[in-house]
Amino acid sequence: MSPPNHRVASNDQPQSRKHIASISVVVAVVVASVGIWWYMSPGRWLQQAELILVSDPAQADALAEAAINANTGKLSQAWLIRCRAQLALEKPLEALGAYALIKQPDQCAVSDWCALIEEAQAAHHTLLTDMALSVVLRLGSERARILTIVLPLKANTLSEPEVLELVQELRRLAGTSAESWRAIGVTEQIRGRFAESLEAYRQAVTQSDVSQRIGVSSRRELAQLLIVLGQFSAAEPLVAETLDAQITCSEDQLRLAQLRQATGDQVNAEKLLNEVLLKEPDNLPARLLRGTLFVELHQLTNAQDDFEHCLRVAPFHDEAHYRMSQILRRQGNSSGAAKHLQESRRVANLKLRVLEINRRRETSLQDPQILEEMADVYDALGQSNSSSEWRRAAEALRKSTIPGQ
Amino acid sequence: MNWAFVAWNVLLLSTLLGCSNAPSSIPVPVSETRSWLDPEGARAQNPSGENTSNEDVVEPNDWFENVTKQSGIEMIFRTGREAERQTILETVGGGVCLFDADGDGALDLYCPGGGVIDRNNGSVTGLPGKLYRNYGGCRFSDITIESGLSLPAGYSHGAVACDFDRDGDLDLFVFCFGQSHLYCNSSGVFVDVTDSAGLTTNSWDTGAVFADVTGDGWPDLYVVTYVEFDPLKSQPCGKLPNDPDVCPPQNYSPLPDRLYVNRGDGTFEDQSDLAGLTEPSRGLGVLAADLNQDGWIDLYVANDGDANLLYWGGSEFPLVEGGLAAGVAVNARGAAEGSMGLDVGDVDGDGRPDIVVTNFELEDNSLYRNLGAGQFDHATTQFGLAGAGRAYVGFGTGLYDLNGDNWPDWYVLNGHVLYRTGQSPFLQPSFVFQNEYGRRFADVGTQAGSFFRQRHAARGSAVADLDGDGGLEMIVSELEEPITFLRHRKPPTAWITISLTARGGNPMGLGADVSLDAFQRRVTIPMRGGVSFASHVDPQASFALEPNRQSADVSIRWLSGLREIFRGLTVSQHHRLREGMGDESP
Repeated sequence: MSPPNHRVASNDQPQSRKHIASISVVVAVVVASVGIWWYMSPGRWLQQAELILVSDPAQADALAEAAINANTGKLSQAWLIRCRAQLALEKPLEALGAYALIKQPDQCAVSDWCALIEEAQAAHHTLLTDMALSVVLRLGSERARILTIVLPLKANTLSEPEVLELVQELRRLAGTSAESWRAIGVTEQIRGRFAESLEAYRQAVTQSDVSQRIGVSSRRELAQLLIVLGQFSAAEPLVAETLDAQITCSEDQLRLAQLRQATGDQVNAEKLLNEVLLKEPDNLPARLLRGTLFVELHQLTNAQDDFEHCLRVAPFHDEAHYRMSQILRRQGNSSGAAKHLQESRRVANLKLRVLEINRRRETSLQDPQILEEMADVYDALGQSNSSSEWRRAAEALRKSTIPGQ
Repeated sequence: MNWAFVAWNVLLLSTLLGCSNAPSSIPVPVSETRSWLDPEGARAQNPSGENTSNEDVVEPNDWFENVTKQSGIEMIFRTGREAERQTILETVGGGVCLFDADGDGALDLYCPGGGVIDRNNGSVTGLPGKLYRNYGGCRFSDITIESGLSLPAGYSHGAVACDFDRDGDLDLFVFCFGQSHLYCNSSGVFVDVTDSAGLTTNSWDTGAVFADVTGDGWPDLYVVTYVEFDPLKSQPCGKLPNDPDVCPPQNYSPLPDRLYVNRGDGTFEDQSDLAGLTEPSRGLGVLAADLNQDGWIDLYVANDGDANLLYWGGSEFPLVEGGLAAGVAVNARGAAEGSMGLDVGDVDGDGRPDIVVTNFELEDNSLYRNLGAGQFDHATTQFGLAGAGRAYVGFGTGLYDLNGDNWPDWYVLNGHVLYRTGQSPFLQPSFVFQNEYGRRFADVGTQAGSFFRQRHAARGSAVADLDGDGGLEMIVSELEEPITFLRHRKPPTAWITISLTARGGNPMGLGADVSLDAFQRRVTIPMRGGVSFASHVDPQASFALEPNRQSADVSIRWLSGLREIFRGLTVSQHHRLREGMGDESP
């Protein structure tokens, strides 16, 4: 019985190969189909959209829209991508509209939220930044990362008890993270608690090396705060350290020049400022400081040149106007002095008005009229970008019902 | 409500119950958690690297020693903070007034009493001030009752003295929250003439100065006002619900200052509008001096958060306000600051009066150097003091030669207004900056004496030679702490002190410059009113002289324009020089 079986078996061999080949083809087709299906699936569209968001925001927006229409169950993620895409396409109102449809914020990854915050900030979209910050603060995962990013940005708009609670939370989570300590330092500084800010910056400096980016920024921020507080000798080694690490950095050279000027070393202060201004002729703080130095050295014409340069770059600079008025008066040009003085006071008063409006904003967050007032002030200050931004925000506030508010 | 009546009853009740003016147990509202953690700021915490207690340990090189206990002065400025209502009223504090109340030539001391605040409804009750007679040798005795000043004047901040009725003795104006009071001095007894003098008002007066602004021979009264504040409606500020603190002045509407013109018949007329004092500001001090040396008294007003004001004196109203144009209204960057204390002196030795102003924390104290022709230069940085005051809230201040080199040194008294939410602690160290030959100032605070190594909530002050040895004593008022009497330990070997009597309505020679040659240079001291914070001292010019000097020639530029030399004045004496009695000079 067995030979025929054997024979049959042997006779079946070509057929079997054929069968296997067929199966292989089927499998290949299935795999390819699955692959194509997977590649073309709405879920994949969102990943694809995220990948091309920066290079091709319009296409990314189309993909996200397709994913929404396909009802993939990842609606919130899709609307977040659309929101980011609209921002990149410079359509702030549409971005707000998309944002309004993110119904389940915790469906989106923390990294996506952080990206949105950064992009909204870069686009000067204050309202969107603020709303996104409020949402992300309520997310439960990756708290240290969230707080490190969000706290400094949100410190001004949260209530004092809220900030305190979040700072305490980050203090518990910070451990040896220089980034987190720096974030605490920045937050405390914004809230006006300089002693606590100094302490946090010092922690950040301790936990980082000057060769790291965070090491440099922590040292710079600590040094700047010490200068504000008049603690020059404590600031100087930090500035020297960062300057050693980044020899040609204008920011550090300027800071060192500030210290030199404050301690009466006018020669070296001027030398440093000359170097900065050779590289960056329109560096306003350096121009102002050198002008001030020239006044101290009784070189009024040189000082006047520097302040005039400042005003060419920034016609609404109140300090430059004030200093110009002082010089012109000393030179006997009373009418010129009066003109600059008047402009200096006008701008200074507008700045005070910004503060006053901000105080009112704290109690009337939903009042678009206040935002319009702010836009008017920025118009008067010659800052059309800021003015448009406030107007957009006012308009958006009128039109939108936004989550996170 | 009749404040005086209520306060009198409170006082009477307190007396019957055996209470003293001193607080029994006032909670110390100081958070020690806020500290400067760096070595430079550590003086606030640990001045000498040893202990931080407020013990009065005298070091061999100290310029001052605290002789309060021996002096007979026992006075505490009461703020009302024990009510724990955190009102802005209790932050201002008080000053001191050194004036010759009895005409014996020695400066007597008047201390305002401040007041108390009702814990439940916030109502304010003034406490009486005290008048101390100077018996010499740093000994004083309380003559409040016999002088007629034992009734509470309201919640008083300070006092200024002047012979406003030109009857030969110095009268007293006590400025208060609510109703300020004018007391007429009649042979050492003070009579309240507020109503009859036409000074009835209800405001918040934080400073004042007498000066003949109109040039008619009668001293006028400039009164500085702060903010509109209703204690009954006051709510604390503070960011945390369980951590209330005092509200900033920006939360309240500013008030316009007032100028009362002396009619010469014992009454005053409010000519504030005519004089152009229409712009409200949060004023805390006023100084009177001839800043541009043109023969007219100028008025410089320190404002808290608003631009400071400079009214140039002249023959006509309105007065010309030229602070911004002169460069004394704002800081070097053109920003207004929280200004408190004031003084003028010739800091750089060029014969022109320079102005110093103490400011709020995170701001430098301002030195405005007089460039002549009505122009000033913000010279704090050039004089080495950038950053020196940023960690502190500056109040009382003065430019006096404290180390006998004839260069005016600059003292700055500090103390916060916020109990817990300021950048720096409530109690703060004070400073003495030594003038280094008119070029720079250097901090010598820790060798100035134990007071400067301690921490206080210091406010007003007055400096004068109170024991006749040529060294300058300092009286300091603090919040809820006894008035401090600092005796100078190192008076110059040879010295001369000058007081002036000018003609007409300028009995104390305000606006004059007193000069003499010593240590190979000409030294000039401007006679000014309204020094420090909420304080007064009869104008005097004190000079140190070479040890072997037998006599001195003193030059005076009177406000009238007359220039005189008084020759051969005996050294180590106090001289009162009268206008027209010297040799006229070109």
